[in-house]
Amino acid sequence: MTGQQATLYTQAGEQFAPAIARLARAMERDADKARDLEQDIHLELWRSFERFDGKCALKTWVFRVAHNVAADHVGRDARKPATVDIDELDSLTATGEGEVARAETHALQRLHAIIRTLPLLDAQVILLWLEGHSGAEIAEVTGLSSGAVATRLSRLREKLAAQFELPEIDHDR
Amino acid sequence: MTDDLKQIWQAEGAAETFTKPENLMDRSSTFERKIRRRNILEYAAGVLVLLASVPTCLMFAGMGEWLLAGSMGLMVPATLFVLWNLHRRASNLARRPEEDCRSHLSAQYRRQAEALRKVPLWYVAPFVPSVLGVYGTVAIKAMGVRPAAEIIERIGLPLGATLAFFGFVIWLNLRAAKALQRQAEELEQA
Repeated sequence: MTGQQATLYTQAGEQFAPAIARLARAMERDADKARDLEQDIHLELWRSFERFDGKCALKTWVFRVAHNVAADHVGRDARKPATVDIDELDSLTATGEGEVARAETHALQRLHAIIRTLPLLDAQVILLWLEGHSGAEIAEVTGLSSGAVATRLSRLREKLAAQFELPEIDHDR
Repeated sequence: MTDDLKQIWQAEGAAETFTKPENLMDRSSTFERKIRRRNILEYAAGVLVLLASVPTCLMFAGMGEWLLAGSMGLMVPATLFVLWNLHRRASNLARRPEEDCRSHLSAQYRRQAEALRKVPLWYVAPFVPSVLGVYGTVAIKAMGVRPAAEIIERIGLPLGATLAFFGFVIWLNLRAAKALQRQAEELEQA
């Protein structure tokens, strides 16, 4: 264990632990497996900080590790349903309608369900957006060009807005 | 429901913390546990093949059936070669999860595609000499004793079925390799 490794881990924990927990819950439906995934991410982060070279921001490093570990996890899970293209989101059955669907917990469940049906890269883009990352930050984490992120994000947000009947969305946020 | 998905999203799990480093020291990841389990299963299967082929080889040698003994003996290096490849390929899984997601995913797809594409070479081909040796020896011994048509009928069918099975395994793996290759290319063009 190095001093830098421990410092970075503590710093990352203080800033990003809730986001990592949300990522694990979004990618893995089963609660126990989600907890396992979360701890796998912690473990890989801990190990990776030995190699941290400061060439990118800590935030970028943390989310790259977290999303890649999560991607490996869902990639191995045969139970994962087939993914659905962004344009087919409209045809997904909502898990509930009316007043119940307006509850925040239900909204989260629907978001999780939608995220789990998306192709991995789209799921990563939407999760990073939900965490408040800018387009440039999403590009840095995912490796997509800024243009590709903007296009995907625009399509995904429009579809999400339609799914949740959100008011006018601001594409620059 | 509020009109801000981000707000709802970010409000969840605000009290979560990281696992303490001391609790991570002895932990192996799900990925590592899965690889370990897979290795144990594969080595166990390899040991079973060795346990079956070595005594059979010795038995044929004891009976003076040198061609059959040799054919069964070929199973031993074939099995060891396959086990060595399994070990080598599993050991190659160096993880660098800090690279960007697209590169990471694409590298995963390409690595898996490459392993599947080479299945005919490192998983099927090593057993072919042994299988052909056994069938060939039986055929040679039957020549002059049984009519040719009967030999073809009695050996051709099981030999054809065995080769068809090998062919099916190769076809399945190559098909999966192509699909993974396509996924990697799509990702790289994204």
